Amino acid sequence: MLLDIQYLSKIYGESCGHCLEQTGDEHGRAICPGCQSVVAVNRVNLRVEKDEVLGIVGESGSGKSTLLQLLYRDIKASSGRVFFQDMLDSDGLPVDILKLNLLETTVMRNKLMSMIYQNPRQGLNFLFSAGGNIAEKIIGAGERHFETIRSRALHFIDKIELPISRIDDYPETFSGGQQQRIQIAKALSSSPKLLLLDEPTTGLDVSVQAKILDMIRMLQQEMSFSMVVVSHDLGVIRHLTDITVVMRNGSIVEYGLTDQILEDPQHGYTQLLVSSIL
Amino acid sequence: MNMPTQNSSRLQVENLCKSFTLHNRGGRKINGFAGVSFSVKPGELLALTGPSGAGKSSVLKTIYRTYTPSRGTIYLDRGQGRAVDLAACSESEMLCYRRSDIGFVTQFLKILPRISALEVVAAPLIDIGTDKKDAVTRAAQLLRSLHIREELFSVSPLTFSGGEQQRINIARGVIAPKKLLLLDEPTASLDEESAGRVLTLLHELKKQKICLVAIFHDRDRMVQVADNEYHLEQNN
Repeated sequence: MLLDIQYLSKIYGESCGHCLEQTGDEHGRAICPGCQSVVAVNRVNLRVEKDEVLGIVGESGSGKSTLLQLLYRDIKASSGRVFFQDMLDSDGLPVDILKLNLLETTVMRNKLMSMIYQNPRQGLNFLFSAGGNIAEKIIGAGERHFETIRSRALHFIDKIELPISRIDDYPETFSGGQQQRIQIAKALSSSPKLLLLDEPTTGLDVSVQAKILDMIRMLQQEMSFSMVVVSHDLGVIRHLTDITVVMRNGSIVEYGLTDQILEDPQHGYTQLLVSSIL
Repeated sequence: MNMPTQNSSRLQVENLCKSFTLHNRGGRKINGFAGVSFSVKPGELLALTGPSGAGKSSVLKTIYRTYTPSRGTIYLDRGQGRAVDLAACSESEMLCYRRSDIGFVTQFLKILPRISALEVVAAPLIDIGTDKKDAVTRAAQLLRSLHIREELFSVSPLTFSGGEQQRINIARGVIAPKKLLLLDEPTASLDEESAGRVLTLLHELKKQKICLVAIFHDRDRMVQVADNEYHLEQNN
């Protein structure tokens, strides 16, 4: 098992102490009636195996992106524990990544886990060139030799099918789809064990979407890393994932093989979601 | 875990049932099939027969876990006495069994656009770690044996005719060695010559001791390869 998420929750606002029990899918709400706090993620338990591609679907506000941000430590969890296969303490015992300090979180992000955001401005430093962005990640993963860093950056620029001659251009000179590809190159340049993708193709035109999805799938097969993909687009989920989780009101309402979720959904909400595919 | 009875079977299905609950239609229940029991030995082909709507395809989809079983067991012998109940295993385990042990040739080709026929067919071999070059070579051999024209190898199968698509589907299903192969109407849209080639391929798979469960729309073709028959009645 690569990732083990246990009772992970995120509450926005001053909690009255009963928010988790009074919200979630069984109550049909994410706002605590007692204190009006918003429970974005409610006691989520989830496991991701090595080489597995897990999809998370659900309507806006269901908590899917928040869950991803909690895993990447972009935001602080309210409660729960998350264990990552290769995160062990000096005694060889699993470390709860929610308890890592800033330095340890940076090491985790540079060596084990990468994130691709919907908005490339979140994932790229627009003051650095494309090559500089990729190099930053490679240096973060521990590489110090200039020639190695440069050749690895070139390798990934080539992988994402950008002209090598553009390695020193700045992100703002690229199109949205190209910026997204640079994010992919940056994220993968440290050879992470887990790639988190938050709506990776939303807002891109369909031909660019297809190219990005093909590229992610190809690189995943080639480099064999696990992925957690958040998308509201069931086409993206069908295209990329092996297992799918359906979220509503901060809770997981269904977990299953992706073809089972799409062809034999068990939960009423999943049935509604699947029947809404155009 | 041991198989409860008939230890020489590769696949043993016991009292398998599937019903669908439509939550958005007031919880209406639709019966897919019920009480299905059969066993298949290595190298045997079991044909599922019955009228349209009896649940033949649903049985295959339930064994593959595209449909969640409502009740019953599906024991698959993975060799060396290791048997697993596909009806009760976790999703991650099922994913592993699909990659290593179970193939499914579905009725219609469902693939990603933009990917060439050669890559589509080679993919299951690459998934289990075969070198890409070797996988592509094997895929080309298989496509030639099924009489797919070489000029089509680099084209997406979604642009092919129904019969060509069906042969791509079969090639993709049989390229990687599996213990169990499920086939949903593998010869449905094929002419006599192509269907004959597919039946020859099925005979070869039986010689390799692969366990086969198949649905045929044409009884004449079925009797040429089937060892046993399991008949499903309408709404049984």
